[in-house]
Amino acid sequence: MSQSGNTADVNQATAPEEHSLKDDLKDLQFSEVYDLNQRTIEDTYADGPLIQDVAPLSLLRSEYEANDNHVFVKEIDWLINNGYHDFRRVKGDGDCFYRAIGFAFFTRLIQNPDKDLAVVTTLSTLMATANLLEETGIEKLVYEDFYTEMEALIRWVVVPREGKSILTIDGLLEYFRDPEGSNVVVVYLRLVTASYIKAHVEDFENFLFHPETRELMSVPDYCNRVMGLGKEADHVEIMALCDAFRWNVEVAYLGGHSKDAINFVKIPDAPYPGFDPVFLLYRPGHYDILLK
Amino acid sequence: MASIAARRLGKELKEIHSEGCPVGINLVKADDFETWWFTIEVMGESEYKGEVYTLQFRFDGQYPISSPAVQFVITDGRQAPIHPHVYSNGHICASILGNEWSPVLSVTAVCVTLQSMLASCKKKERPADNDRYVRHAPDNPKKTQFHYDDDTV
Repeated sequence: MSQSGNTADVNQATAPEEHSLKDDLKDLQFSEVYDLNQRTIEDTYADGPLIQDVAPLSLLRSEYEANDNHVFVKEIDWLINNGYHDFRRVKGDGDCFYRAIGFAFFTRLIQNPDKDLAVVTTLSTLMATANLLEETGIEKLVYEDFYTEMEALIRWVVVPREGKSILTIDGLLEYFRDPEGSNVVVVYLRLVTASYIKAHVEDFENFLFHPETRELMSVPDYCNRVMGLGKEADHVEIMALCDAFRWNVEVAYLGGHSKDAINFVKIPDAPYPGFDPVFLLYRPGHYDILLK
Repeated sequence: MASIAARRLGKELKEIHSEGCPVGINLVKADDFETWWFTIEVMGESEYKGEVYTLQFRFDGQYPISSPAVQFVITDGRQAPIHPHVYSNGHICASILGNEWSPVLSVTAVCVTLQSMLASCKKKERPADNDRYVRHAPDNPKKTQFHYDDDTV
């Protein structure tokens, strides 16, 4: 299930300021916006591929316009006017965050003007993540197949693989559309996310809320949840994963929280050098890839 | 390139052969990467003292990303243990085989978890809905949407 986020999720991620009575009134309206949004997401994702072709954001705009959802229409207009013209839909199967960020990151790697250096840097970061897994008690038997495949995928950006020429965006799309391919990436990213949380307990322990009940969870329980497929990601997972991989991500949060401009959340606060950020489009309970 | 399931199962099998199974667990057969059988016995004092059961694992090409289909074997005189989470057709209601499965688990880890599920049992009885479930149960327990209302399993 991917569409199970709630208003509290979004508030927590986007509006750190005090919650006032006025906001509560706004939330009432927001829950209606939310319901409409869920229906739109469900209607448009049913049988599509895991990652869809690039589509203009104006298409998304027209879907919300047809549903009379003016909050989203206004926000999408802002994105279009600020240079974000396209997006890729990612299947809402509970793994959308990991699949979206994985695909977006590999896209950046392929597009990097100094690919050789970027690949070497990424391989050494990958190696560090394997150490992290090891240190947090994940057995080699468990992670090594996923690690080996991640390594091969990264190398493929600069060297041919098994008779196939070096990885292009189209090749990447084909790889990610095959569940056997992109689930390997999803699983590895999930393992690293869980291990990073375990290794930085003091940073995260007060924020490990169950996505449905909103109850505080223990670190092992939370991390077990992160490691299973189909379990949605929250702000905690995004921060942990980006820190572990030294990725820069900017998330555009839609859903009626910003008056004028879209609230982009940059993770981390100070970007890591060497890589352009990837952009994600968040609508309550769901992530897609946003493109400039 | 061998499938991820074959690579992983190959390693698990190698580890079982070189290091042996945990106490009370024995490999019966693992001739391919589709179906494995183990015997499972609860060590020490328990409701199941001296009883030996057979567990069947079935794997698809997405193991360990997807969970194995695990059940007790009930053919050739074998029986499923009488337990509040084990149906008489051998199907098991355990969250780690369903929504709490993660690729961190392994075949022996599942065996050990089921062994401790039996060990902690206070009263031998079938699930309340046993007859109804068994009448309509699919062949593959993974096709059942169990409700895990008891976290003590």
